Amino acid sequence: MKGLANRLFFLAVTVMTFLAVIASASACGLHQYQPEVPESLRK
Amino acid sequence: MESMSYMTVSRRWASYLRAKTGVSREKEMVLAYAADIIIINLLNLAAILLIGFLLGILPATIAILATLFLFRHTAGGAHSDSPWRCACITILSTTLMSLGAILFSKYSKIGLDIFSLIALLLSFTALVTLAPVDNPAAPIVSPVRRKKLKRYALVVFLLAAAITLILRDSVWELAQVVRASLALCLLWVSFMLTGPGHQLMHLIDRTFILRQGGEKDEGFG
Repeated sequence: MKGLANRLFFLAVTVMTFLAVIASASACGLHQYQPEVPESLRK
Repeated sequence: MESMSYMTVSRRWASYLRAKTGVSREKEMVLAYAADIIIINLLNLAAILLIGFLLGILPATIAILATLFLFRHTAGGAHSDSPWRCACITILSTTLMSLGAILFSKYSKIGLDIFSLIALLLSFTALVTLAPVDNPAAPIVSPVRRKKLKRYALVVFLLAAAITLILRDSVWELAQVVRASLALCLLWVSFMLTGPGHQLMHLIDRTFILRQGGEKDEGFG
């Protein structure tokens, strides 16, 4: 059970990182607010 | 994490994931950024779609959301300083545009033609001269990326122009609603690229400051 939970946490980290990379690659989001892009994702 | 202005709930979410997976501090910031994106988008989308459904203007709302999504991702535009004000502006502007689209769709065909043509001309001018418009929170550093985004924005514009043209003689019952939605949305995203668009957002930000400093940190937390 603990192993499955760990996998889910890592999956969440992977999915969220992927999403952050996609979001940082676009000019801005759908909404009128732009969260600050982390330095490591700026390009 | 102190230097970045993410919502409290996003920072807690990221910090929890870091504790569970042992990722670096730098990665924690990326996770907080992703959490901000997920929460703001989901809440905005849910509220906009719910209001559209309740007012019976869902087709126009969906057409506007799709257009807004594609244009904002490629062309960028003005921003609000706070997720709360952002939510209010996005929900209000999308709902008003949807209501406007329903109203404009009842115009004569020639009236809607002229309106669409004006919207296409103005948005093309704005895209060619101004896009992509970035902001200090998400600067476009690379000139290559800037060029790429401009190209994508123009492709999206061509797509919008083609849909407008195809729907002109369509027998689909929602064709004129979608056409009017596209025209209104094009005008809005073009306005958000301009100086007056930025001034409007700045004015809203300055007018509706709830508590000076740290408002963003209070968000959803």
